[in-house]
Amino acid sequence: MKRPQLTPVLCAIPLAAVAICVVGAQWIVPDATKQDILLGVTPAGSPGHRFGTDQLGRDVLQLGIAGARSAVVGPIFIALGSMLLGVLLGSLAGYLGGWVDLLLTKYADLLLALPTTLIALVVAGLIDGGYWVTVLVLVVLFSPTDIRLIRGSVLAQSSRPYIESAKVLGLGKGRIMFRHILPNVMPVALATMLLNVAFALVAMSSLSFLGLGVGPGVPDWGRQLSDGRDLLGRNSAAVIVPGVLIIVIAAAINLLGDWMQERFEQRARQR
Amino acid sequence: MSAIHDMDRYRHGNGPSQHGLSVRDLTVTGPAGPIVTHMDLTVWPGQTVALVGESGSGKSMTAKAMTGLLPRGVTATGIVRLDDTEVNLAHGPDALAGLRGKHISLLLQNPFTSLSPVHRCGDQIGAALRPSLRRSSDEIQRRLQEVDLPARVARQYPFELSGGMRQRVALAASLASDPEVLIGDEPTTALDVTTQREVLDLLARIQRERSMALLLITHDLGVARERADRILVMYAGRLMETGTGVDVFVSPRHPYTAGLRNSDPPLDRRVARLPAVPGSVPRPWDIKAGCAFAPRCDRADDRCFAVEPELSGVGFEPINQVACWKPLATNEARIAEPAAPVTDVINVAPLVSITQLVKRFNHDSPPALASVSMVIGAGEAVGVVGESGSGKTTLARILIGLEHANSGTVDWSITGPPATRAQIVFQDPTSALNPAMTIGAALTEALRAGGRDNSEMPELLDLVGLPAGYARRRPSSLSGGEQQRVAIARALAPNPKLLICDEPVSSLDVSVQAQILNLLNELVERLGLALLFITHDLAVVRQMARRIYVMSNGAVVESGDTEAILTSPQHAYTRTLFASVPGRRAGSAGRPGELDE
Repeated sequence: MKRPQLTPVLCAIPLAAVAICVVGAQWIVPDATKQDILLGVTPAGSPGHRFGTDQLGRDVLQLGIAGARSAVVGPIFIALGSMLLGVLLGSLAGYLGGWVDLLLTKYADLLLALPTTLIALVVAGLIDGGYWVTVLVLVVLFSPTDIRLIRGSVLAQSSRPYIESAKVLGLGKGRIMFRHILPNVMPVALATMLLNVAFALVAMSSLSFLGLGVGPGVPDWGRQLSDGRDLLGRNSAAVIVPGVLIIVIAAAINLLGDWMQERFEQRARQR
Repeated sequence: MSAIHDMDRYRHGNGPSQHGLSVRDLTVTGPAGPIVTHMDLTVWPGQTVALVGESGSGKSMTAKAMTGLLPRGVTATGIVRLDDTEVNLAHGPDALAGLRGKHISLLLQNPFTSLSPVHRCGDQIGAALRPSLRRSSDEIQRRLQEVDLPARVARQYPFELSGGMRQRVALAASLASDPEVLIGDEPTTALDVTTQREVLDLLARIQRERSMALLLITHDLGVARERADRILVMYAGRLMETGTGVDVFVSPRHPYTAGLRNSDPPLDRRVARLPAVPGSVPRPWDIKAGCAFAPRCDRADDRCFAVEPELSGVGFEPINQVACWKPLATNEARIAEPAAPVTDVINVAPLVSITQLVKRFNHDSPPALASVSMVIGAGEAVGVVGESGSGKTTLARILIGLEHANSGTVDWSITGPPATRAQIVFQDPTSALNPAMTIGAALTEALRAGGRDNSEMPELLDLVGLPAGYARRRPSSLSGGEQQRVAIARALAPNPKLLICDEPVSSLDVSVQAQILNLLNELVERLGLALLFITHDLAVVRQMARRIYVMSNGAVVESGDTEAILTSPQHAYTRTLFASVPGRRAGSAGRPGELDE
């Protein structure tokens, strides 16, 4: 029983560090994007640059800290947006049933059948929209799993006796939906949202690695990884730093989400 | 008679050849604290011992500890001894691996989850056979025959069988290793009464033939009394009383046992008020000092609260033991509860008339309701009795508007919104309350639905016997009985003319069940409510309804005055139902204890 308590603490440390970087990057590393073309690539451990510099002479560590913002903010909006869609459409489908349900599940199935990254790549490439368009595309592409999840949870709640009691009391559909069903679906939604942040972080980083998403010059882990590819021989830290950051943060969010989900399930069982 | 038999076994049991299974000083500890404390237990070959207790008494954990199947985070200490093998439980669950399966077998409550859904029944029995017999289909046939199942079952999957048949397969599988001891953990609780009787008869026959020891874990006093040579009563992880079935239930010495016996509704008559035990069953780890039952005991004094009594002998028989500082005298527990005054069935104006209701859920299966007609008068208490699949719940759901009939009519003699016509109380109070809402919020909503004001809430809570402060609490912090009170309050909030109760006490502990039944009777009286009481339990319906309908396979097979039907049932089905009620064999329909008066 005491074992799982370690997970949230271990996850909170890197997440808190990232949160600080997201909010305060401009004060912590004001010169992160300052180029020094004359300096060029230096290996890790060079004076003043613990992890060396990249081709443009930018400090790898400073760039990593500054990149936290674009790496994390987008995914948070993706997770929020897709869960908003999920809750809205999923609860409509689950509670109303009938043709609304049929239409929405078919829509979700269709989206699910599409390869997420490829579509994002094509759309973002075609309309050349940059960061926020990519976020929007990913919101749409992430939403079908959320729609399905919420629909399932709403259906599971709808047949429970307390919902039937509410119907017998003659309460309106809206009231039953918002006062009775949704509060009991929220825990699952929150835990899933956290997991989605991790997936979106990886997806966003992949896209910027492929040259989409953030504009040139904006610090971003995926782009840093991509830029650093050619430097493996000269300064491997240029790849390792953003790579490790992506892995650690995605894993921490994932673990925290899993832990939350388990907790909620445990609580649901005890009820 | 059975007492003499039992004593015989007891004396022989002390001989060197017949050890049976014994457990010494069993303590089971969970994450929150002790679940079972210092428990001793012995079952001799050929003997049935019933471990009786309410929820949280630790009876299932005792079985799990004895078979090394405790859940993670729960540990046990104590010595398990079978014949000449002794196992120290403190050495971990694997210590029992040599005994479990081969010598001690376990039969679980739910045959649907205890059997594997992807394996054929024959293979599941075969898997537990000795390796040399495993592939022998003759042996599997023989095993199926032993539990009265046809040979074809070997090739079938569990989901193709009825609940009773599934439990027979589970029994054959747990007997496949020819164990010396069988532990049945509520083996018939999930079954209908008539099926329960068949399975219990089968179990008794096999036990006799094999001279096997049987430890029967049950919450059902009737089953324990009817089937056990010896009864152990557990409460909050402790043994409260032991003795023969007759001793324990005819002249219980522990106030708790007496309370249990008295609160079990009698089948043979309607009593004015069931003698309920106040309060609810505590969790074992919440008990600090003194007797676990003291807070609910009307005999408790300072010593009861300060020092925990040890199990010690009472009377002449060494197997009669009680853990009580102030045990009852032999005849003291018998409460002559006055019978309810017989009231004539008055011809009241009908509140709702149901005519030829038909409900089909799908076209291939027989209808859930096949032309059911029924009348409920204003202020009348009507019972519907039947087993699972009889259509009684479907009837309630149509009446309340949660389901629509394919044909037939429901005519109400009153007007107004549906919420003020009828309300419903479900079986499981935990799932009937929104876990995310406080009691106050749930009741406010229900009051508003009936056009009443929120200020009436304290009054409403008081009506169901709950303090006004409960409004701030959430359902998860309430006991099952309290949750059911809240569910009743919510149903009463819109001032309905009819209260439908669908098995409202079958998921509650016996000692709490009586409180809820009394409360419902009081409310019906006080508010002039009409009551539709749906149950499988004939003894319960006798306490609740003046008029009953007996349903079977979607049709009403018998209806009329409760007293008349339960005194001399006419229809064959009603008679079978009546004869199947455990603890009340045909011809001796009295409450245990009243037989020999």
